[in-house]
Amino acid sequence: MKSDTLIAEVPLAPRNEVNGVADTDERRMEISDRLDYLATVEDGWFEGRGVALDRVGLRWLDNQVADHFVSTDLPLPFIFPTVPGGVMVEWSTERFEGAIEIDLEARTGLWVDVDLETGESIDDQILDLDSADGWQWLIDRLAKLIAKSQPCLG
Amino acid sequence: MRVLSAYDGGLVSAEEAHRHYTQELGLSSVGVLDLSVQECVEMGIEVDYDGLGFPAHVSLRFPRLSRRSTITLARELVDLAMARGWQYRPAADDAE
Repeated sequence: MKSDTLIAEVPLAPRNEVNGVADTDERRMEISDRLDYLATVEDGWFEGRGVALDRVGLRWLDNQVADHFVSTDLPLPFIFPTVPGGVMVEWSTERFEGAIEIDLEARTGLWVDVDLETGESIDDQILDLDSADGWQWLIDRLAKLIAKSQPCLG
Repeated sequence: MRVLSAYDGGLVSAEEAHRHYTQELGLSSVGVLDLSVQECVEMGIEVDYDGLGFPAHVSLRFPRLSRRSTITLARELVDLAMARGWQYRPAADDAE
């Protein structure tokens, strides 16, 4: 008979949530380390189907993050691989959930967020992450959401 | 499809799961929460005791929903688990 209780691990929060806001170099290293880990993911990583992430694309993303994100005071996100070989980047607070699914080949991101108090959301906003405008939209959106809430999980 | 990996609580304790996750799989974790199978099923999440990679592995398959609805559902699951409290947390110096 199967147990009716399951056990789930909670990923370690990015360092800025544990020890206070880190400086720019530490923020860069935190994200670069995570992207380096994603580069080690091999074909078949998820139930035989997960696609290895493109290393050139990951380097591009690392550079974009360095140019546009690490110098902000926004919390560092959780970063995960996706089955088709993309990158999922997530922010979570008591008040909102936000995520962007990044296509490393197209160099675009698909943004979604939900305000858990009001139910307001933006769904499937496509961002050009090869442009400063795309990153500025993301940063402005995050800043607006975070201003309304206290960081909780990531 | 969003899939969350978990451990079968009938096969391993929270501390054993944490040790496996951090030491054998080499992943990072801040601690361990309990999930209720009944709550998962009521949310439309399929609970698959698949033993993938190790005997206690369980896959939680989220229903096909919009990205917004999937995020909301995942958050609801976490909030229910958090309300029950941490089942295991490593000492601060050992968090990995």
